[in-house]
Amino acid sequence: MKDNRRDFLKKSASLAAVMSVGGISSAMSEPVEKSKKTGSKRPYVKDAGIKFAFSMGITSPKIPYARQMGVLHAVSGVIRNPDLKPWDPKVITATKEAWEKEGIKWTVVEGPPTLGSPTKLGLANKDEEISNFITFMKNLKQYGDVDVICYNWMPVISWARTQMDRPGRGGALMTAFDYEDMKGKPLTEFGEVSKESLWKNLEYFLKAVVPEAEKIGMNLSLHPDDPQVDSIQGISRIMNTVENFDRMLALYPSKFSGLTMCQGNFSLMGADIPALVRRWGKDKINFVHFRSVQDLSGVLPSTKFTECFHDEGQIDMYEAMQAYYDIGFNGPLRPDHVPTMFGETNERPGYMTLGNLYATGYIRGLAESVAKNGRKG
Amino acid sequence: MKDNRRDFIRKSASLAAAISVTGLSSCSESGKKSDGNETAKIVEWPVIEGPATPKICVGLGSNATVAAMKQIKQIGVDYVLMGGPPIPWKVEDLKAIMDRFKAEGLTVINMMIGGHPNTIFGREGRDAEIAKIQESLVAAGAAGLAVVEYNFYADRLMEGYYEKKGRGDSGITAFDYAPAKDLPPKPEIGAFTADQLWENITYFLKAVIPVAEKAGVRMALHPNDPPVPISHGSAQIMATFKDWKRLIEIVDSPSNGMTYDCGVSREMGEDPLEVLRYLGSRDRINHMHFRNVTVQEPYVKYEEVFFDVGQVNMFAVMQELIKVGYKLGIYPEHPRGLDYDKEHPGGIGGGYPGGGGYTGQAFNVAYTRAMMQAAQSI
Repeated sequence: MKDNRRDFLKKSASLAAVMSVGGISSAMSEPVEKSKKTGSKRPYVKDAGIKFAFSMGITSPKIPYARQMGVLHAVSGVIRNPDLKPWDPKVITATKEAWEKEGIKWTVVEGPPTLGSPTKLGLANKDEEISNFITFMKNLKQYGDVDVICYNWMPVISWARTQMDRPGRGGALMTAFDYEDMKGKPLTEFGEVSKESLWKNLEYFLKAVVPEAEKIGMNLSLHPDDPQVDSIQGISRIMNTVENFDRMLALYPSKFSGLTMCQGNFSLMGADIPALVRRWGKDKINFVHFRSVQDLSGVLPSTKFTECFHDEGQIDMYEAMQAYYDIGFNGPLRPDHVPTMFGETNERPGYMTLGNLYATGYIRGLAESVAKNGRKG
Repeated sequence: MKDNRRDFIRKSASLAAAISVTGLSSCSESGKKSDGNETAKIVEWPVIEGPATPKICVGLGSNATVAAMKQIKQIGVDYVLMGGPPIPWKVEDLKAIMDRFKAEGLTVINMMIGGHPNTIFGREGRDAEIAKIQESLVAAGAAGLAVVEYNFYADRLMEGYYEKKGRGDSGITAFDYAPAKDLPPKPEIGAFTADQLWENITYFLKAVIPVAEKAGVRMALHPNDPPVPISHGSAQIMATFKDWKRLIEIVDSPSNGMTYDCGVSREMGEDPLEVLRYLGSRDRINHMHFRNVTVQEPYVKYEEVFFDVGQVNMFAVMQELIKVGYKLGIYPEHPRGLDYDKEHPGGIGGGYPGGGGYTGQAFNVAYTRAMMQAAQSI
């Protein structure tokens, strides 16, 4: 683990040397040194000005604990009503009011309705789906006061893991992925799906949707593929490298066509998270999944990894938090996947309660460290 | 030099980010060129505890089950503290306890020693108690126990604590001296003056510290908490910063140290950083409590709150700890009362009004770990 990281640093250092980049980043690195040594000059803000959030539905057992932790933002879907479409203003209004009653602000929709295989695979009914998506987006902003939608470009097979109970420290259960275990799995009913078609469909979607998002101020946030491998069961993956994200961002350049900085996935691609946060900045990063991972494959991009506790992974979490602070990130952030802990069933791997409470203590400790560095009181 | 190196790494890292690193392995040939710089300090992540860092620890019973030990391991803690056996301690007993924890990857860093009332009160029988404590310290040294903690008060004023509700109806431990101020002496204890207690602790320290020093054991006196001047008619001699300074001068040895508590320091209206620097620069912090408070009136009225809520700048404390080179136990203590622990019995319980258990502790430990990693990264 350590060796990989060191290796990576070494390799990237040597690459920098080879390519002689003094000019590129000197403007970038100096303010960092300054802020780290002398501390922040900004007025102190709780949680470094970031909106701490949990992923939870309106019936989640996490809600009372969220209030006690001071995590006052929800990443939540709409409360489904069998008689109404999920983009119906009544549905959205009811969801907003339900959260208000809980004393928690509804801030993000992750995995929006009406964005599925038709749009991502370019099927016949894609225009209807996109049109509904635009309606959803507008109503969500107008009636729900939600301005972040986190979506992904993984049709058919979404989040994938090959193990849900890998033993971690003290017997905590972690999710893990090994690309080897996916090989030989059959194609889906959609057969081989090419990267070109996914790009084409993504471009079509963005060109239809982003102008509307701009009008209403909806921060679209594309989540990287998880896992960030080349393809699964014949379905290609395209949001799996930093270059591809740059390409995506250029398809329709806009503050409202941004991304979700899922630290785990980008780290497994081989990226240095703090540097990437600084480079993309506040205008591209609309939402953060603050987590860490351990690569187990010995190479990056990773083909085998596990999702560990926040404090024991390969990502420089302090420098990452410093980077969010320096770019002035003030959007929502959630802990994302956490190990299943003592006394918990593993019914929703990655999303059980204790790990989230532990993660909150950790993230808050980091945010406070960054925001209080150099302050006396 | 160091800065240049760090700059260099950062620049290259941002370049790597800029172009992603697919195919970087082809550079491994020239990568060897950077080996010359390997001695420069780069903080490796995950940042872990080492011989030169503080060690996060939590309390467990000496008879804790393996399941309880695993719970502690899950929150990333490798060190524990506990009450020791009755005095005199025997090396084989200590080893048996410590080995049981070791088998689960936990090091016992601190045991609380007790059973010395005659010593505190200066009564007949104190020499026999002191002899047992001396024997215990020798056993501790032989067993490899780094720190022995103890108390020295006539009575602890628990009556002033009461529960308050904090954010989301969590439990807060509040303290008010007023209703407990004039409680009478307990008949079995009586009332002691500060002079008497100072005399008794002096007698004690002169007898035990040389033994501790020789055994390679550090003693840590727990401050009075609550730090009120009088408890049930008896004076308290560990309830001001001046008292603490006086304590460490009685016997001039690193074995004659304290449990530094940034929360208690603030309860007394002191600057926790100043206290830390004073004790730390003299190498007299042998154990430490990490917690936060909101004080209405020093010594008299305050609340033990979430770490991220109180008046102590916890990160400044952590940075200072790293700066003074503190490397013994850091105990994120007094978890807040969270509903999760009430609804999920079987966690590790707490003992204070408004106090909590395992879940609150998990939050505290994670917060402390983050600050420790941050302080090591800067």
